[in-house]
Formats: sequence, structure tokens, C-alpha cells
Amino acid sequence: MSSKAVLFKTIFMKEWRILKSYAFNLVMSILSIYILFLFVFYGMKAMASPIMFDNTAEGIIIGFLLWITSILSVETLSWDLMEEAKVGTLEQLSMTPFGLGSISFFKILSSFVLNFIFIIPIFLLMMLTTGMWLYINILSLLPLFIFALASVWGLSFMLGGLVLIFKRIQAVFQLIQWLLLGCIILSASAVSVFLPLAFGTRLIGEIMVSGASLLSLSPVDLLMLMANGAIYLGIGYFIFGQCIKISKKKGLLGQY
Amino acid sequence: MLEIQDLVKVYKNKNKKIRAIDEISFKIKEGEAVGILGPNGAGKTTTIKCICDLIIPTSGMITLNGVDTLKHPSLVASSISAVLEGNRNIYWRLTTEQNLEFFAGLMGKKVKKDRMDELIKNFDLTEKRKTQARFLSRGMQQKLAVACALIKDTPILLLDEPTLGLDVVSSHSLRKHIKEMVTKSKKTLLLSTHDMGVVKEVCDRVIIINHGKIVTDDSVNNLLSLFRTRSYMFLIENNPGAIDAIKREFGVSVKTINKKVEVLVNISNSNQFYEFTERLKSYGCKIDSVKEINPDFEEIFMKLVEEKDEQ
Repeated sequence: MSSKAVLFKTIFMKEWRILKSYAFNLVMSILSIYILFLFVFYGMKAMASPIMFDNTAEGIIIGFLLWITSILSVETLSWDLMEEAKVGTLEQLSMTPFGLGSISFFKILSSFVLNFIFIIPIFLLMMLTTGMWLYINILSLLPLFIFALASVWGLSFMLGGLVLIFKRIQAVFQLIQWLLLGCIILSASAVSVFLPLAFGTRLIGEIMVSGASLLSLSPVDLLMLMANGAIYLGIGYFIFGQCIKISKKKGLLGQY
Repeated sequence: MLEIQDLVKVYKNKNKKIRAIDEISFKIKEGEAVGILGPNGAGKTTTIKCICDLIIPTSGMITLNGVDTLKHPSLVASSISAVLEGNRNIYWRLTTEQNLEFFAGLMGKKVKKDRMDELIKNFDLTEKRKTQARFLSRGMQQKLAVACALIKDTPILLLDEPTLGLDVVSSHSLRKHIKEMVTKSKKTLLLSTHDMGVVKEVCDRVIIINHGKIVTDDSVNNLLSLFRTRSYMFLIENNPGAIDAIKREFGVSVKTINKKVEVLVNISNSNQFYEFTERLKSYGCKIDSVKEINPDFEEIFMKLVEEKDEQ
């Protein structure tokens, strides 16, 4: 096993063990996501006309799923770094040959895998409750999810960088949540290729509604999605690196 | 060899500049155990964090075997492990074993079971190997933190206040383990502490820092002998006339206990010692006992810091 694979396994196991040790919180999180979905879905059903609702019902499920996944993805690193700074382990994470950037990237990947595991049953429950069964072609959806969320991971790095300097940035999370919702709403518009998450949401929607495979999508669309993810991720990672430098210059890494 | 040259760290706080460390230079040879002593705010932790690449210094250079660590931070991480805030360096929700596994994994290495067993045994954590760190006593948590640093298997170990907040028994136990570890593994150790006992017991050399500057850098033995006052405590029978004469002649301090008198005298050589005893006899004072008083490391530290402040 390569050293990076050992590092990923180490971080994944730690995240999993800590998540498990707060089992009650985990169950309550799953429940509250499901209850929030019920409010959104049936709230919209009550407000919209039956024809209009039938046209958008699938979009609500997909949009909600992506919104929740992206919120979890964008906030996990920041919460983790805040917690590590609070308990005093952040400096230990910085003292590895791989650097805090790689550690944080593996933290994001670990959270993605764990979130994915917990999101699937919620998603099935959502479809069971609404009676709307969407196509779940894992082999096609997983790469799209990864490319779509890569842009969100870029935002996650930016927020993580702010945490290293300012320590508490919960107020920014609320802004980001609405920003991501806005991106999902704009997924059908022409600007979606420039926004984080938006273009991926459109392509994921196409696959889940039509049942088509990844190969049926236009290669140009796929390339644009990859470029969008890579650019946001690259910028986010760069900003994170700069924030580490600022934090080290100001001696803030060990503070909370 | 770890070499620190003209290290300066200035923090800017609004309009104020604080020089946390001010042109500090020292070298640590391979396998050497060096203690950094200093009052609160002296610059000990900042120095250690600069060496660990957790704080970027304003100026100066840190080299490890001739390589500039500021330009090669990954070299620092693969060569130096540190315990920075005692029990805050471990995950309280992970067990002893899981913490050790995690910190070995951070180096990209799978934990060696033999090594883990050895550390758990050496730090008296055998019965707690499956216990979450939050259920361990503070002393055990600190031992675990040191074990987690050791499992990284780096040649240099930095310990920042390892015995801070521990009771006497736990502090003594951890001190014993650190000493054993230094002796057995021949690791290079840099240890910052308020605890003079730790330095005296564990370190070969001591660097005293105050206001960000090095006050002194010498071997522990040299410092002790430098300040060896050769004080002696004589217990004699009370003889007021004789005592007054001795006080005038030798400037001794005197304490009366029942019918006896304790006379504390500073003597610079053996001739003076014999001269003093002869004089006591000539005054008719019967000497009950003589005790040599060794200098206390804490007193030496305070004296050095105060002297530097006066300068």
C-alpha cells in the first residue's frame, strides 16, 4: 500500500470512528434531513398547481439531494478544522510530510464517501415516501457526483482557509447554503457552466430522469463539467495554501 | 544537527510590535537532550513552533543537517515530532490503540504492532489500550500524547511543557518515562518546561530564555557547579557572645532552635572551611553536625533571569 493510500485509510478510519462515537447525533442528522425534505416536498405540492408540480417533482427530489450533499461537502472540512483547532490536534495534522493541504483533501474525500453511504438510504426513503422512482445508475452517477462536487470542494477549501485564520465562520455557512441553492435553481440557465454545482446538477438530473448512461451525455458537456470542477478545486486549494501561510505567519494555527 | 541562527519572531498587534523571540541562536547535536527554561512569555513555545514549521519566523534560519527547513517543510515533518499542549494533542474519542494507529498513519506508515505494544507497555498503558482517551487520567493522556509522538519514529522529539498541570506522582512518572526513552532510543530531545526537576533529570544541557533572548546556554552540571555556593549548615550549641562575634567576622546567617543554633555559612575553598571550624572551636562552640547545602536549580534559574533583567 502506498504512503498516500495509508494516509487516506488512516483519515477515513478516524472520521468513521469519531462519527460512530456520536451515533445519536448521526441518527438525528439523518432524521432531520428526511423531515426537512418532507416539508420542502409537501410544502411545494400544497402551494403549486398540480400540473406545475408534476413537471417539477423529480427536480425537487434531485435538487434537494444535491443541495444537502453539497452543504455537507462544503461545511465538513470547516467544521472539522474548527473542531481540530478547538481540541488542539490541528497542529499535529500540520506536522506530517504530506502537509495540511493533502490531509484536508483526504478529509473531504472521506466525508464524501461517508456522506454518500448515509445519503443513499435517505434518498431511497425520499423516493419511497413520494412514490417517485428515479433511475439510479451508480456507475454513471458516481463520476458525475464527483465532478459536480469538485467545485463544491473548492469552496470547501476556501472556507477551510478562512477557518485557519478567523476560527469561527458559522455566519458564512448560512450565506453559502443559500448560494448553493441559488446555483441549483440556476442549473437550467446558460450561466450554469460558470457556477459551482449548477452544471453538474443539470447533467445529474438528465441521467436520473431519463435513465440514460454517462456515455449518452455530450463529451463537450462532460469536459465543461470537469473543467468547472477542476478550476474551482484548483482555486480553492490555492487559497487554502495561502491561508495556511498567513496562519503560520501570524502564529494562529494552534489558537482557537 | 539542528541549528537555529538569529531567529526572530515579531508579532504585529494593531500598532504594537511584540518581539516574541529576539535573535536566538543555538545548536543541538544528534542524541543530545536539551531543555529550554524560561518564565511565561519568554519565547519558549514560539521557538519550538518555529522549529516545527508551525510558525514562520520573521527572520533567521533553521537548518537540519545543513538543510534549510523553512524551504523544505516536509523535511521537518519527517524528522521532527512534537507534543505541544500535552493532553490536547490526542483524540479523546479514539482509544489508546486507535490514537497510536492514527499518528503512525499520518506519516504514511502502517503501525508496527511490535512498536505499538512496546510503547503501550513502556508507558504503563497496557490495561487502557482499548479505552477511549477521554476516560484516561490527565497523566495517562499526556503519556499517550508522548507515545503518539514517539510512534512517528522521527529522530528528533520536541516536548512543550510535557508535565504541565500534572500532579506530583504523574509528573514524576512521565519524567521517568521520558528519561528512559531518551536513554534507550538516543533521540535528540528539545524540551521546554517550567519544571526545573524535569530539566535536571532528563537534559544534558539547558538554555534559559527570557524576554525572547537567550540568558544562558550551558550544560546542566556546569550551571550547577557555577553557582555552587558551597554553603554549609553548622548546628552548634547556643553561645550568644560567640555567635555575635562569628556573625561580625563571617557574615553568617543564624537561626536559633531551642538551645541550639543553626549557622549557615558560604565558604569558597577548603581552607576557609577549616579556618571557620577552628574559629568556632576557639570560641568554645561545640559543633553537633555539619551539612553541605547544595544549590537549588530553581534558585539558579531565578538568579540568572534576574541578573539579565538588571543588565
